Amino acid sequence: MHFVVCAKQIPDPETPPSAFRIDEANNEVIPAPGISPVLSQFDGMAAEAALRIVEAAGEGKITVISLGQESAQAAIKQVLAMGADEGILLEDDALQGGDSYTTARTLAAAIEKLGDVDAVFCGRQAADWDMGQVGLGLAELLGWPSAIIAKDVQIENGAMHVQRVLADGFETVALPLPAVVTISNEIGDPRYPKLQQIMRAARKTVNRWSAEDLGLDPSTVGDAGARLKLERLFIPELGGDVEIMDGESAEEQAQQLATTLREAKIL
Amino acid sequence: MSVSERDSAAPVHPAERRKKPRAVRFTAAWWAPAVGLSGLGLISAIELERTNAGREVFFNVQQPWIVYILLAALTGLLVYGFARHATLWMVGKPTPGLLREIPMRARNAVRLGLGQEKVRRDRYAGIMHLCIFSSIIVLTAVTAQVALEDDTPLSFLHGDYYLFFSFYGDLFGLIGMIGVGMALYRRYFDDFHRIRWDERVEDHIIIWGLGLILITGFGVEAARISVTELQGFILEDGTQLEAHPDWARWSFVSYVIAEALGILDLTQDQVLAGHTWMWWIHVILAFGWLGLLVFTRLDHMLFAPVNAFLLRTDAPGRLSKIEDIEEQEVFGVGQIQDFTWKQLFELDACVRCGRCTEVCPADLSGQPLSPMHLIQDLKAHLADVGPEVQRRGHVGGDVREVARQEMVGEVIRDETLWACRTCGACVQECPVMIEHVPTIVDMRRYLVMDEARVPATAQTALENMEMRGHPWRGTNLTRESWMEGLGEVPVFDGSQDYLYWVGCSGALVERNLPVTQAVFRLLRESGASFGVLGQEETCNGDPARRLGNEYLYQILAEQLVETFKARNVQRVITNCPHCFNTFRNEYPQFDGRFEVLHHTEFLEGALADGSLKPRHSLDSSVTYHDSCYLGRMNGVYDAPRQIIELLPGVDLTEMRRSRSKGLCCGAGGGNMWQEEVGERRVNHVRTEEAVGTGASEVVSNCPFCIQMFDDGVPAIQPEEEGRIRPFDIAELIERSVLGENGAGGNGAPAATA
Amino acid sequence: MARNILVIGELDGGALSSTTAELVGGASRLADGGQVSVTLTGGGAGGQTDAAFAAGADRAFVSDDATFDEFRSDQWVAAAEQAIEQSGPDVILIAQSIVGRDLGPRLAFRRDTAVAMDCVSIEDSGGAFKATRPCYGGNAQATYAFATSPAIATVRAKSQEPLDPPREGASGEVVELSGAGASRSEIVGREAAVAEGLQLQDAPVVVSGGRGLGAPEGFGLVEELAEAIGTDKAAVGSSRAACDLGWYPPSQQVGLTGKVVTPDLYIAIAISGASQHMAGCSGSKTIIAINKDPEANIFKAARYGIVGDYKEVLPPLIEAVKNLE
Repeated sequence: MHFVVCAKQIPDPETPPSAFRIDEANNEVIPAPGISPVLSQFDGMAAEAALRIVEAAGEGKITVISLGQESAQAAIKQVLAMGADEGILLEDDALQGGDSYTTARTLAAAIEKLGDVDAVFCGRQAADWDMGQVGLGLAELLGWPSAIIAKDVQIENGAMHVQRVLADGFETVALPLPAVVTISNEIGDPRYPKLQQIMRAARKTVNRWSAEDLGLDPSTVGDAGARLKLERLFIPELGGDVEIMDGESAEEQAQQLATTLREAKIL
Repeated sequence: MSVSERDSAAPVHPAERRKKPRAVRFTAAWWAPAVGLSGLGLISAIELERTNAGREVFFNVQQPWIVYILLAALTGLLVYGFARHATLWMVGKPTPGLLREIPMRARNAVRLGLGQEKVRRDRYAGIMHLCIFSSIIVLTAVTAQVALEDDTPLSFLHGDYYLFFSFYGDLFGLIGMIGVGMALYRRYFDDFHRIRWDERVEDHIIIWGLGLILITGFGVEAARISVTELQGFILEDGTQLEAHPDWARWSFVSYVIAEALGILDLTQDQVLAGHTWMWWIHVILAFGWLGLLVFTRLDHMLFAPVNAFLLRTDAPGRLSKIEDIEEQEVFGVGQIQDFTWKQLFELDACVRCGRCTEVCPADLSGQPLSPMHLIQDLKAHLADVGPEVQRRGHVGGDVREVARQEMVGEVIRDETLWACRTCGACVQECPVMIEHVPTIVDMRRYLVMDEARVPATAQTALENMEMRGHPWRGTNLTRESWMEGLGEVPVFDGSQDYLYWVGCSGALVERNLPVTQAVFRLLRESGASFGVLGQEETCNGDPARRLGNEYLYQILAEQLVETFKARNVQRVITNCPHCFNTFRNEYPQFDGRFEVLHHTEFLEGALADGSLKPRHSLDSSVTYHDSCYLGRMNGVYDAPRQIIELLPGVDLTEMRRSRSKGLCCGAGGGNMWQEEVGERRVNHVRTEEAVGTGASEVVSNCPFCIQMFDDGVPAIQPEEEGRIRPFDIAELIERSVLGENGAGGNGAPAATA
Repeated sequence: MARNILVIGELDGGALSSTTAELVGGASRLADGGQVSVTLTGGGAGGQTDAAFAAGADRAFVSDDATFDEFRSDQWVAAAEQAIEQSGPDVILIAQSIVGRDLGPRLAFRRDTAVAMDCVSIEDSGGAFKATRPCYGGNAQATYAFATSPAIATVRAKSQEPLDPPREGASGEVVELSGAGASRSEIVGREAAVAEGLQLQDAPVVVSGGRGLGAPEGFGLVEELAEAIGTDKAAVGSSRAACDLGWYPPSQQVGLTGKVVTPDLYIAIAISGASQHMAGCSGSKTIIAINKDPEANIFKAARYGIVGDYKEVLPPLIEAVKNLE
């Protein structure tokens, strides 16, 4: 079994809202001071799902692929420390920027180049742009079946059994391999790596592939190939004007709130 | 039988556990005391007699030379026994640094070992030990003198000295009896006393054995006095021993017994026969009892002073550094041989007195940690696997395969290790100087770094420290939020005297912002030259180290030491006792040497020298809660109390547990970020104690303590009316110096750089 | 400029889903004289055409095949492709639902175009179709233009208004789609979440608890408050942090990765208001925040607030609410 985990490094989604700033001229998020980028949490969960299968089967290889800049090495190393076997960084000026389409296209090319992949694990969405379409795009480009928003994945008799989260429960879907699955937070937190593995991961070389290595025409990837053009990035106004109950005690405040709600005909 | 029900079953409430002593564990098996008893008597010679004024040594005893054979046998037994112990200790790793600071170690051995300083923290036990210990020392000296008199050319047991000798021999015999009596009372009549939480057969044997030795000693002496000094006696060689009741009275205890014997109207032959019997019983008991040194906790007589010598000489708040961590294969202690031999030696020193467990905040709250049981479980595990580890190690075999049970996980359960607050109360109380906390943290290191088995919430905190440089996941604050509305906040640039270190909790936890602001305003008011680092602050690593992630700690510590050096930091004032302890005691391990003050120390100095003037009377009654890392770990007990003294209108009522006996708030050792398992929460227990003083405010100086009280108060006092309110001592000072709104200072000179 | 718009419709319990009605309504405004088509697939779909026409559709692509009642990517993509072939849309709108999250990207890549997910507004800006959607966990919003056609958008529930009043009795063209085709994926099991009474998305009042409750027991008070408001009116939600801690079932999670709710009243108890959570509740008409921390983000979005410990505030609030009746 050979699994691929797609990992993305993103600005820390837990940046306090007060420290979250946007450069509206360039439609970019300004990195908050002292806050480093992190592995998108759902991608860690995707790695966890793949690792659980390999552990249960007692065999299997996991390759982690990240499309990003030099700093994305840290995200790759994090998944290697969790227990993945190899890391590949897709890094090239031509590959920078872009949208979900170019990302899926680039990752698909890398997976095709690997050749023997049985399944791809992605996070349900990257916690920066929150699009949630790269996994499905990969499946479509590779011609594979897929299931999204999984809380559990098993592989039995060459088929993938995915328990996916619905609005009102769960559903188990069987897919023939090779397949793509995207993982949701219901699967649980990614494992805490053992220090020995962190050390091993630190010593591992991460392979680098460029657009040329992948046989991709630079005009079809990165910013050049993007199909969604970002026109404006801005911070939305929140409701605001909160009225704080100013009673002396909790009892008074509670009574005040109930009365206010009744007067405003809300309750 | 190394692990009892307590370990396999769900957590047991402490009271219940105490009612039901663990299965009797007679470690070295029943043959041990038998062998001991077959050795004969060192003390045998003890009451062998005084004659003219002096006496015939070995009066009325045939073949007294057998005593020396027995002495030889006992010596052999002791040598063999301790060699066997030692081979087990040597399964451990080398203990670095033991030969440094010899004078201090010698002082510790005398003060803590022979002087029993810690034993005396429990007065009853202190008196009891003093009685027994002094009695054994003196009576051993008495015996040695008899032996010297008889078997060397020396001769001094006569005349006035003999009479004095008779007197102090009896006196210390009596003192010994008092000690034994106290021990018996506590063991049999004090229900559920801590010494019975892990009671074994040997405990009864030791105390009854000692009592019988003393009783038979007096008996032998009384019988001799009865037939010689009271009646006069003709020896077989025809020597006439004249009656000397005046000599006899110096042996005042035996004299009374001898007189009492007279009432029984025994014949001289009967008394002589009784004397012979009692003499041999006394001798055999004495040798046997000393043989117990090898097999029972009686060994604490020797191990306690030795362990006092081995005790760390550096700050108690410092955890060991794993050197060259990147080159290690095993990071923590997962198997018995990963401990140092000193840590294994300590296991043998434990006397199961229960003092550690009695003060343990986890145990007090019905949580699954009892330091005494932890040490005893490890000791049993050592006895279980140690010999095989030793044998295989000797032939170069794989020692990691020996244990039938996982030491960490089965012998010592994960939740036991996580329940530790690293508050140091157990270490503080231990009369034989066992250091439980480093042992627990070593096993945590194994859990976190080798096994990656971490409770989910603690894992979140660790990951957050790694990714975001602070443990407070999900905070909406930044490291500059507290600065709002304070005017210009000077940035530390190396030119100011002090770096004011706010810390993660001081900056990122809502409740602590007023504390940070209070300290800031007071520093400014005092005219001190200081600056802050703002966004440049990162976690100093303390929670990571205490949670067992030494690697993460080292990364954070090294970074910060570098930042401090680059910024030319010389002196630091911290908000948090944990930061304080880390900078002061642990950063020197990373070549970071700074003068570190907790804000409490600085503010006390400023109040004392008049640079801060308390103006407003507070009209408040307070109780002061000693944070573990300011108090026990660093000995800062007086500064906060002096501050309270200096503030007008503040009454201090101490809690029952205060100063070095203070009880942890429950957050230490990374428990701020863990869900508690067990009967109660530690902070509820402590809040109850604070509420019990009747004070209107509970004052501390640790952001964790304050949060724990904030959480605990509504649980203990459901009614909002009349609740005790938790404050940092800086907030108290601010109210007095600057007034309620924090603006009443006298012209507040801005401390700009 | 007139545009042809295709809405991928969904049925809810055999009836036209409220979100589909919203999308069709939005499409009819956006079409600007162009044709609005809607697909209706699943058991009883044929009976919903009138509802679709009333909602603003001009044409309905219908398949009554009950196989469509469950979502299988391959079958839904094939059905959508048939409708696309026949209607030639400039814009395709799909609900950001269990269906849309999967179908949107699949269809976009199949048709060699692009999709913007989870849009809250779609507009025709001088002939160019633009979509605005939240990102960075709700901290920011992004507006996109499309470089390829057709433009596909999945749209957040309640972000579009249905036609008001609906075009009662309106008629339109009905086109039969072929039944469900082959699927590589197979649904082998289903497990309903234990949902008692009112569904979170339908409740006019949602009372939610977060990590600040400190312990799972905290939800006891949260539930009591919901009961006091009325079991027919109020449902209980939870923040992701609380769900991940296992304090409350994941089916009740409100937020970007849980359910997006838009009740009249949203009461957030001990929830800090991380943008991830706000993304799931910011559409509520009125938000009330109860939190110890006066700086908590939730107060920025709230209309009313109490700064205090929920353990002290809730018991009297529950009493006060009961006394309102």
